[in-house]
Amino acid sequence: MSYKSIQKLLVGSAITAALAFSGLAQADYPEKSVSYVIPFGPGGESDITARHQQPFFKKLFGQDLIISYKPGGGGAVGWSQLNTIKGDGYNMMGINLPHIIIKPLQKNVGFKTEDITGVYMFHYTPDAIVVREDSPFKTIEDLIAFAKKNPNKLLFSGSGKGTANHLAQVRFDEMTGIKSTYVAFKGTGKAVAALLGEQVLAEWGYTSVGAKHEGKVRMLAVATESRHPRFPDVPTFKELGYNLVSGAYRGIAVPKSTPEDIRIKISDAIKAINNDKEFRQRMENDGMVLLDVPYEKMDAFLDQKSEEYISAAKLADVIK
Amino acid sequence: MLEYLFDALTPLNLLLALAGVVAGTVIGSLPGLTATMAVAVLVPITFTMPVTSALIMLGAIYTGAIYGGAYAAILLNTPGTPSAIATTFDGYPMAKRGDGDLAITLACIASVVGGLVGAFFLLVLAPPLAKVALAFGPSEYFWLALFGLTLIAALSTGNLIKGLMGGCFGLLLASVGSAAVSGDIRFTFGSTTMIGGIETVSALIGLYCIPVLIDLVAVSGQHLTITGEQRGYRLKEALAISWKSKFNLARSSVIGTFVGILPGAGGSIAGLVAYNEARRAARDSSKFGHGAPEGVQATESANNATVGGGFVPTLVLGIPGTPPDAVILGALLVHGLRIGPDMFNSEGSIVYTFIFGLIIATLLMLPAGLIIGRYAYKSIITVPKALLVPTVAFMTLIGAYSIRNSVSDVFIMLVLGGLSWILNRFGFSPSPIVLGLILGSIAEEGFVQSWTIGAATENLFGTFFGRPISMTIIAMIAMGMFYPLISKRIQLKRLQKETME
Amino acid sequence: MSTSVSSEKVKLTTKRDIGGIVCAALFILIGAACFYETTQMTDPDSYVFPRMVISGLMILSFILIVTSLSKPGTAETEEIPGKNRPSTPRRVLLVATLLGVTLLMPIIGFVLSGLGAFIALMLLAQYEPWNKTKMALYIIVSVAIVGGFYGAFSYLLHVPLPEGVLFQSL
Repeated sequence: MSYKSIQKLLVGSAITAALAFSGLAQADYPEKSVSYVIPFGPGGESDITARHQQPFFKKLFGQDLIISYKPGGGGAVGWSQLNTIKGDGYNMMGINLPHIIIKPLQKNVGFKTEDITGVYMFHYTPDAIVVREDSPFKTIEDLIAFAKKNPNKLLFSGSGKGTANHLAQVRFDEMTGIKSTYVAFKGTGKAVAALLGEQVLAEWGYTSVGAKHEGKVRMLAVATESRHPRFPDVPTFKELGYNLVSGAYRGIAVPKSTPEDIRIKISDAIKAINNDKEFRQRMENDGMVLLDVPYEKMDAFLDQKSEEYISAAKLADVIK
Repeated sequence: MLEYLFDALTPLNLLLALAGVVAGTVIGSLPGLTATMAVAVLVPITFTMPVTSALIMLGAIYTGAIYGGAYAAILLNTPGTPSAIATTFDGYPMAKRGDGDLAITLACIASVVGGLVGAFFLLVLAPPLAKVALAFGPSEYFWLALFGLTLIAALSTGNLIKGLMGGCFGLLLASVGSAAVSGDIRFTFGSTTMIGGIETVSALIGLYCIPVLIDLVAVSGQHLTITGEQRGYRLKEALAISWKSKFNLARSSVIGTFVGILPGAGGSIAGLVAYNEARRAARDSSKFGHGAPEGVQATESANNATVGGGFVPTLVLGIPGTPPDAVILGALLVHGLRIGPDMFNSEGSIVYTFIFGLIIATLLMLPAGLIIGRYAYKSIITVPKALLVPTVAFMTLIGAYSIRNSVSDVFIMLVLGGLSWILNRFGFSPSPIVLGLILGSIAEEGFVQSWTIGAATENLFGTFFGRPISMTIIAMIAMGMFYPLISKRIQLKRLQKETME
Repeated sequence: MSTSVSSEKVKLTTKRDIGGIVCAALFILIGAACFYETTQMTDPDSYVFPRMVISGLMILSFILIVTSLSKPGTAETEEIPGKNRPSTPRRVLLVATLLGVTLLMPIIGFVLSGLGAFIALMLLAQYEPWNKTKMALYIIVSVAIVGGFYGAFSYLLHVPLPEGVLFQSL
């Protein structure tokens, strides 16, 4: 056999092997455990929602969902490495809005928003204004009245800058014409501790804060379209006359090299988990709002959210 | 309450506690594998078991890992987990002079004592103690970090300026990557390697372990020289020393519990603060840093006390005290538990059974820890250098990598390691750098937040200096800085008096 | 981490702390570069604290240089290398091996690079002459350790160790 024919043979067999492999992968996805990387540390909301999904993935598809963490750079470390992972359908990563939109606009963080192949957005945690149970502020109007009388002195805690909490604060200040002060903490846990410890007067938090710390905190308003089923007594900003529907959106992305049909399969898998009754119940108990943005609608969804977030981030001076 | 003790004593729970402690100890002893990671990996397994059993196992792993961190600290001058940083200060000198076995046994006893004290506070005082976690605001954290930094003065006996320079360098390293408060990406100089910042665990491996390897490979002969015959566990000797320093153990355990209660502070700071206090309280502080058993005891009891302490805000407030607590909290939520002060009443069976389980696990750590420690010690002293060096080096690679699954962290680890060796030659020891690195983000967060609050309320001075806890910490810092001067004065006066008489 | 164990005699010399001065100069340079970067930041939350730290670092470095230069030189112990003299080439090779292996890791994967590092460092740390049985034994041990760690990390702890692009393309 000549050198050329050996080469041909090798290449040929490699292609057949690759085809056979991908065919196999398509036949019955998932065939083995799936790695799910959370680009944040453990214990945060991204982690907890992933942990909620974990047992249901096993229940519905019979395979393990293996969660690991890749914290750093506010998610940038994970997302900048997303496309270097093998795109065989057994690797996926959590994505968060507004992070993946705002971060790349601030600085070179090793990835661009369009580098990220989102396949599904499965829930969001609505923003909410939270106060202590014993706080004199009973309504949003109380808060606004205080802020009008004492510019800058209305102290809000919140998790980080350029986050959903921060952008909501900026937009709310803009809508109401008040000037409040936003004290950024590392993560929701510390922001709540600051609220409970009376370091601040109120918190720009999430509905999940209201659920987790029920009895110690009250929510004055939530940034949902309609009232949250878990908190039927808490008004939405919308019904109070402020057009604020926002929160932290979470979804799942895959490496760019993942074949089109597998992307759809993953999208369908996440959808199936979202449709599980018990899963819905657990998520709503934690104060989350489930969302169904499948693969084919991702681009339109991201475009619409980008517009909102970028204008708020510019207002907040988070990006230029 | 006693019925919960019996609930914790079921064969399954006992088995899980023992398995957890053993697994945790082994994991903690490997630099780069942390308690957080060990707990996170095992969370899915707990979905298939009763909540209390799951909690007991996770708590046991956590306790074991904190203790296991002492092995590498003592035998290789490399903290296996960040909690064991201060263990290296005296543990490694002890090992170098042939007392590594004693140091490990002392660490085991101290860890058990600390663990029990922490768990005891959790058992009887959790709800009121949780208030401590809330009383600490931004300015208190800032001053606590500064208090930690005053340890630099003690650690740089040779040259204070060099120590302070190292501390500043560490603080600067801490600010690489995502900014503590604003989230801006800083000091990456356009490279994507540094976006994630300097990861603490991989930096520790680099700063402490690589220089040891560099010096190990440079000369022939064994790593630790053993004089005389083997002396077994040296348990009797260790118990006598532990009894002698019972006040040290008690003080350090209480410090550990309280620091553990503060969300975000954690075992490393608890160990450092306890070490500092033990050194200050000692009659002869000059031995510290040169193999004083008290240093190992203080650190190891304090860091294990943070386990119980950390569960206080976790269970009472739903705010995790330490990173492993965060993982455990997540697991609890998925198990469908409602966290809060009521939990001690409504879910009393779960909470108290878990606490008793934690106490049992801590007690099991005494025999398990002694045996594993003995084995670790023997293998380090008997393995020939040609296998020890590559094994440890390989562990630094895999450890630095796995902490965040990132090759960049391995690079940063190696570069810091080389730098640390060079700097050390010129009188800059790695410990002040590590102190800066660990305390940097806490100090910055506290400072920037206090500044924001102070500016908004037009009370900058009051925000920083006017709060009672802040004032107490400031007084402690001042005492720490001036104590050496005062004690010299007192000694001088006493001497004068004696000569006059 | 002193090398005093390996030196036979210790002699007293007077000399300036040249190393300290060089390090201090290096710190000043690093500080200046970082300070320049803080001027690009717009949010005070990002730059206030680092600037304080950098100023501290630069001032302390400056003090160190001035005091070291102004002092006539202090008595210092200098080690005279003895028979068991620490080998600088081995030190450099250790760091170089580890760095090289890390560079190769994304290309040839973790197992191969780890094994390569292991065997290279084994040769580097061996001072006595080799014999065949020892060599064979040590190589078996190294394969077992690397394999054992690989297995434990990737299957028990689910750490996705780099596979290497060389083997990923197929």
